[in-house]
Amino acid sequence: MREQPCVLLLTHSQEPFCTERVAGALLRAGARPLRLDTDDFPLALALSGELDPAAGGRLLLDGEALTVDAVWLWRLWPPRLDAGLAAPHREAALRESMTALRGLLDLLDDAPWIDGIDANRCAENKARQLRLAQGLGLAIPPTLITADPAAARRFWGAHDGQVVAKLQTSLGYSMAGGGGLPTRMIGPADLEALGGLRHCPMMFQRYVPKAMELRIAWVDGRALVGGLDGARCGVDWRHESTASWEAHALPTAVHERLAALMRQLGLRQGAIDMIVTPSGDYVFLEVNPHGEWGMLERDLGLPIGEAIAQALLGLARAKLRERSER
Amino acid sequence: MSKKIMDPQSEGADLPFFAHLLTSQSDPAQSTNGGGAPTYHCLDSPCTKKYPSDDDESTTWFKDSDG
Repeated sequence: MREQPCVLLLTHSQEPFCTERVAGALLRAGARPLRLDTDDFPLALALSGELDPAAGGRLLLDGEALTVDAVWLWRLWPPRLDAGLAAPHREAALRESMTALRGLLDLLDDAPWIDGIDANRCAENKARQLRLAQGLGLAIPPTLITADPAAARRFWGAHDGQVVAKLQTSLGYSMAGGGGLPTRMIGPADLEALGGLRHCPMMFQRYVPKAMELRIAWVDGRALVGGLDGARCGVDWRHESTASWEAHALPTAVHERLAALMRQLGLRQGAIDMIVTPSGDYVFLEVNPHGEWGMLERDLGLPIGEAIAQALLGLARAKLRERSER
Repeated sequence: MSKKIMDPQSEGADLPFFAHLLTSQSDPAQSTNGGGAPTYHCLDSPCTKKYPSDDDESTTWFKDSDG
């Protein structure tokens, strides 16, 4: 029986921090981390899949069958295609490469994932997150998702103009940043432009006064929490903050409700954003299944990579035992 | 039969509302007093930017390929 668990880490070639933290913790625990930079496929990564009528499917890396005992899904990036590829071919190559990669990774369905691709896609639904959170007793901001200018205008009036707007997805992907839309406060002058909703809906929420902004790195039931002084944050702390991270402990009741939410979403990991109001209420905003946590580990020493590694190891060892008993 | 959104106050808007917000308000991270978000930067030298990988949703690029 093979004794050293092998854990596959799905990431990308520019990922600067988190992957190595998890890999280091796995190594220290005696496991074998295998980093796979997904943007290397197909240009520089020799991945293949075989589907045999009798034996079933298997994933090959450099021509060898790849058996892993757990998979950590951190990032799946589109390929770095050859710069010389003509534009009409580039789009097809991009689409086909990502489709092929999705199929190849499906051949690892015998291994446990943190977290599976389909689970992530389902959990990224922000309306679903808010619906489930509210049902579990978590406070949420009044929210309107609409393409109807009149509805948005009514919502703005009903909340005395204390309304923010946000998109549910990014405007683009990159490590370069700057391509996102910060959550914005809606002023009276913006109302005249609401007709633009007919081109693209948006999410509107009542502005939540903040004593503290929280980012909660959730790992398999554990909450590793960083907070920012709300008085030193703008509407969107990701874009406007002079605060430094400080450690924070969640009330037990909030922790339990978040645990239930993550179970219902089918997630073992995620970055949860909450606001603590001046009156001490905890308001749930969203979960990003792959939200950044590197700054919390870097600045506060929170052992997030270690926690992820331990969660992966637990699953990997159980899978190894299962395979040895077959 | 579907009902159409009729909003005489806002007909003729050419820009998506999010694009209006992008152009009508300055980026807070670029303002002189906003201070950016130094606590949120990525951690390597080519990645010292304002908005790192929250937007790198892992499956964003797994769009339906046959649609």
